[in-house]
Amino acid sequence: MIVKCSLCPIECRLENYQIGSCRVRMHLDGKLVTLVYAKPCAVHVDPIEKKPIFHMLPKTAAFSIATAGCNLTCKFCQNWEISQAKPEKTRSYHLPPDEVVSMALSRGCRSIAYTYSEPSVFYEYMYETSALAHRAGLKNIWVTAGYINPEPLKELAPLMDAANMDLKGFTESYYRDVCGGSLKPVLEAIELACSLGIWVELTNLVVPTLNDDLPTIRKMCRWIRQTLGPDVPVHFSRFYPHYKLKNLPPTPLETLVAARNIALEEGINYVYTGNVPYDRNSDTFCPECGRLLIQRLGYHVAVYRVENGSCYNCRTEIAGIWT
Amino acid sequence: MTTESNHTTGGIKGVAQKKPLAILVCLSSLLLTAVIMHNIFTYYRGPDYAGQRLQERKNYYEKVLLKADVSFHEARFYEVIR
Repeated sequence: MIVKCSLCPIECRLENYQIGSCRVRMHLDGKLVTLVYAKPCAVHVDPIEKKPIFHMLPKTAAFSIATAGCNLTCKFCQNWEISQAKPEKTRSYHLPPDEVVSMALSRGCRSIAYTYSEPSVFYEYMYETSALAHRAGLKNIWVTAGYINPEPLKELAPLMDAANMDLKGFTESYYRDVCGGSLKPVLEAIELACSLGIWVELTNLVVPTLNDDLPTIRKMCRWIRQTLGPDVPVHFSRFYPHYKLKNLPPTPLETLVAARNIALEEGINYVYTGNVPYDRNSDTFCPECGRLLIQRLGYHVAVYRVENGSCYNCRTEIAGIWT
Repeated sequence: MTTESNHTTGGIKGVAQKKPLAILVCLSSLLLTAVIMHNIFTYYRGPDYAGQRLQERKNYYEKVLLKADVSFHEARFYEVIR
């Protein structure tokens, strides 16, 4: 007997007692079981800006959880100690969904973020926690690589308020060789998430020599503008040597600025650089009058001038979830 | 006086030159055959291979996973295909 997992595009076919490539889903006597339900290995209270989510509830805290496991194998992974680990080799807590919600509330968080590793692989835990969180008035944030099949995404969408989705590169070869995945399903998931009403922000980690080709970045920005619209925020994030790419240098700031300029030229309204402390390119400006609306110092918000979701000066509506 | 050629000198010389080549060809053929046979046997594993793998996975489940701090919560989005 074979069980086929249809959660993500890999669609593992598993014989009895066999574990999927995400390391956390297993065929057990004709059923598929998850090894990480209610077993987070990372639990933190983070500023929402750290996700990064810049256009939903700024200055608030997000209760952040992650389990072991991931369905990609990115060579630059910053959380490889948990994303590439087996759950049985990871120290975890026992934290059922209702306890996650009550802990989030007790710590004054306005949202719960499913983050750090790849939350799609702990789908059931994320789904049930999200449902309880909504009932308690909390928002849900999905920080994901977007490597998920359409059906699970459609079911998750009504519970998910915001998502930071990685668009790691814009070529199939990059996804195949560096991330162990495929670009096409990611583009489809991003498009679907936007169309299902999730507030989506995109993150592109710019890795020197691997995906920092400016014409390709322009092509990616054009796709974002034409397919998703001008109001999807794009974060160009700085790479630091990690995991299997310790041989590469950090991304030069000039490359990040060049990528940001390209995105602005292509008509994207909100473009940020990330992983760069105290950088003026992480501020939000009104796309109409150009006034500074949100000034960020690291994860701290120093200036906040969005009033009822609009620019304080010209009253242009600023895309996002502000209350 | 004879017109008979001197087999001894020429013949031995010739054979002596070709022998290492023949041995090399022979060894290469054997090596190639061994590699091909190995690949065939690894590809078409023995009748017990699937059973052995199942037993290995079952052992891991019983000896490691059951004792580890993991859950066995039924997942969604799967189908039993045979």
